[in-house]
Amino acid sequence: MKIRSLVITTFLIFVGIALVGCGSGGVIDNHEPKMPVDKPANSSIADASPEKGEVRIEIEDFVFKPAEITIAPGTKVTWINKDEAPHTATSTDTPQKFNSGGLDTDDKFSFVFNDKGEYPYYCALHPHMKASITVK
Amino acid sequence: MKDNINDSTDEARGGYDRREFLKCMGAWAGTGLVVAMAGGVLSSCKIEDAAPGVLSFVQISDTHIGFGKDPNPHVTDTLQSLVGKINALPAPPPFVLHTGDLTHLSKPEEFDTLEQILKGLKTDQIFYVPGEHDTFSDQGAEFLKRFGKGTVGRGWQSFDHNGTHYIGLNNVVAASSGPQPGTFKNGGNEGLGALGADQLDWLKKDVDSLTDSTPVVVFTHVPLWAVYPQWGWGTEDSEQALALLKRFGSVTVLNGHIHQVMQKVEGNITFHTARSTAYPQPAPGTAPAPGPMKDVSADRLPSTIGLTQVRYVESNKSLAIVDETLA
Repeated sequence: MKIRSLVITTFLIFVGIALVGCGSGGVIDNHEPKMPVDKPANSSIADASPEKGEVRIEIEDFVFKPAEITIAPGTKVTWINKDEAPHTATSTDTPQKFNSGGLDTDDKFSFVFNDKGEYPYYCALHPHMKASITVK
Repeated sequence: MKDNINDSTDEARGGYDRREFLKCMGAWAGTGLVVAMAGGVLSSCKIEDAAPGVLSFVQISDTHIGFGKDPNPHVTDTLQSLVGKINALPAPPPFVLHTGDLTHLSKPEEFDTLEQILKGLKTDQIFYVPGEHDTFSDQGAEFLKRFGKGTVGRGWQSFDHNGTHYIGLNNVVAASSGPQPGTFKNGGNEGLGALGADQLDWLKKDVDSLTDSTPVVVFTHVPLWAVYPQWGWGTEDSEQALALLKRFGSVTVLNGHIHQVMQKVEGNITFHTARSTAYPQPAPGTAPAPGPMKDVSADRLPSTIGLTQVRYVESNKSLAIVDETLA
């Protein structure tokens, strides 16, 4: 399992290098995001529902899973494409808030959401794939 | 296919008698298929039984250079083999149409490879329309820089050849009426292709001076009929384009995108989708989602990818569409 993780990590480093420049404000992440994530000790957020720290969204069978998620400000979201077809995670706002560029199978893209608000996004290759992130 | 055999006249079957026609229909699952069109009605037959015609052109589609996984880790090799098939034709085609998805991820090196391979084609000219894989990252800027010569707007074009009017449409980079002009129109739709108002205006002017008897061939990436809207396999404003073409006696609409042969007839308009040169996709609704059919074995792959020839049949002034696989 450790060897497999090492191989995957090494591969993802190369993928990450290949993808640098594709995103607009996003970060290519070569590490598995942890979920659930440690709650900051000084958190002032009373509502326990938002995910914090890092969350992961899988793209599978042409669906973002989960399609809707609520997170706390400062949370890093990582998308990983588990499909055979390439996808993107592209903000539908104008101007765009984030854009992963093309994610081939097992490619990842990360973006840190610092500001509260609604962040609808879609796959630019398959626009019927729609999803959104709520930061509160 | 039911649409195609309602008319029992020989003319409607492209000149085949009933027995021959039924025999040909039985060969539907063969490696090659001729679809002969007369009076807007299709009939089909095996390649070897087809009425001889003058080769008008060849269509290739969905080359997806850059794809490198199952079922086809060698898309450049299969494309090269198909180029060899075209070059081995008795007479070289005067031109070749590429109906989009030249590349898999719009990378410059993928465009480079595609250009390099197609330089080996024995033909005078190649006409391209983009697929969404060629435009999703930059609204088609790189595609237009390389392949947009002679086009207008976002890459649409028309030309005449031997009395037939050819129209290339871009239905993957729609007008900026949606929030994301970089891709399909996204203004709350279900992810279908779109032409956009400005392209439709251009089309109206383009066909305005043509006589009704002018044969028209339209080539574009996403189907102009609703093949399977749940997977985005259709074009949301195609009705407006088809309304402009209804008056013509013979209209052939060629596209790619769905990586499989499919056809439909509506009045005088024949729709035909081509195979990919790279990999097959599932039939509509037979899988959770579209995408490469990774379980197709290496043995079977050649029968699932291919190209399309279109021949002009002098005797009945019809077009015969011949789908050929790599097998």
